[in-house]
Amino acid sequence: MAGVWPVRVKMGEIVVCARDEAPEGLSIRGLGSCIAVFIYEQRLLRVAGMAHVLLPQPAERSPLTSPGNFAPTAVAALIDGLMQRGVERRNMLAKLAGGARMFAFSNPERESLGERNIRAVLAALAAERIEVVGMEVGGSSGRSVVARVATGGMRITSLGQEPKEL
Amino acid sequence: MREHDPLGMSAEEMASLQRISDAGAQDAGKAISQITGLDFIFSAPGVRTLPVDDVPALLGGEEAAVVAVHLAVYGDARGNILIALEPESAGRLLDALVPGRPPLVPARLHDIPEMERSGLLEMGNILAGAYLSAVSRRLQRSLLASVPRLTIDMAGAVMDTLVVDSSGGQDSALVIQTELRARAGDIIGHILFLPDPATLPEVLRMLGRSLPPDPPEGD
Repeated sequence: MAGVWPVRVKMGEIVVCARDEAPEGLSIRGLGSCIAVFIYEQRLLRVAGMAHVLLPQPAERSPLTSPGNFAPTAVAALIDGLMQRGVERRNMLAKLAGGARMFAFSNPERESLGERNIRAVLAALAAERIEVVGMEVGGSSGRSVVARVATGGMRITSLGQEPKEL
Repeated sequence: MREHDPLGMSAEEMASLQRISDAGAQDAGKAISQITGLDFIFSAPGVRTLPVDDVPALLGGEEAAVVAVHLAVYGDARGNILIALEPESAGRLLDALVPGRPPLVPARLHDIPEMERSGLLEMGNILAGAYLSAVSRRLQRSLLASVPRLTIDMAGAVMDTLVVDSSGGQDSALVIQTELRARAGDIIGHILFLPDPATLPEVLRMLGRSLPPDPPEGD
């Protein structure tokens, strides 16, 4: 779906696009503890994809839900989607954003959901041997991200702060 | 407009939840009116199950700035309560709470001086406390709130942790939303109650036992 707006990646979704399918890139607005996992194709920069991960892993009691909700299944499905579009695994590079602790005064002793998400996504990427070349994670501010297929660049904005480029 | 409910709740159960939430909203309304001296109107709570991605839209969209107080709900049922105001509304609420203070439209948490911060947290405490105690009375069960926590950020970011926490990784979440509005029209906020789906069957069981059956609906 080409258009003037970035392609929106909803909670639990995995979107894989060629350059001309997302000329304005892929975006997630208002990320809190969730993680945007962006994987692009180094040098060739033809196809890229993004997952919007909610949780480190499924709870035991979880009924059937989208694989995109959980770190290991989302990362695996994102890589699969990219391979189906002709991206070779050795050309895949990852960038991450999100995993905030939204309420600064929540129990600092306990690992927050955001922190657990970061750890789980990094572990899943390591298990798949995908190199992480940039991340803007943790902290206590929400983020919006736009990532470009054609450059592999990721722009991150937070309320009242200067945008950051990865 | 009652579609198939993804969490498997019947129309009767939704209506029962609506009625106990109504009692909660009325008591919360009385409490905030007494404290601020302003006349507040509370809407009838909307009980909905939504795709998790659609929840931030209830607060004006993912990137809309909100001043939010969160409390976790413990006891015989679990869940989350969020009280959210637009920054302008939060500023006006503070004017009513702390008369004579310089006007403030908070954009970031550290913009809010300590006393005003306590005021907002206390307001959250009182609203949530009044709401939960009314719901507890109806259910004849104990529901308790955690200490309140305050943040200012994008609605999407504020909601995503709570929605994920409340939905336990399911694709849909049950949201009970009440709008609060000063009669003068210049303060608008929302109370969102997100029961944890793992304790939802228990809540519905309590509802069945503590309430008489619903009268037949007109539609």
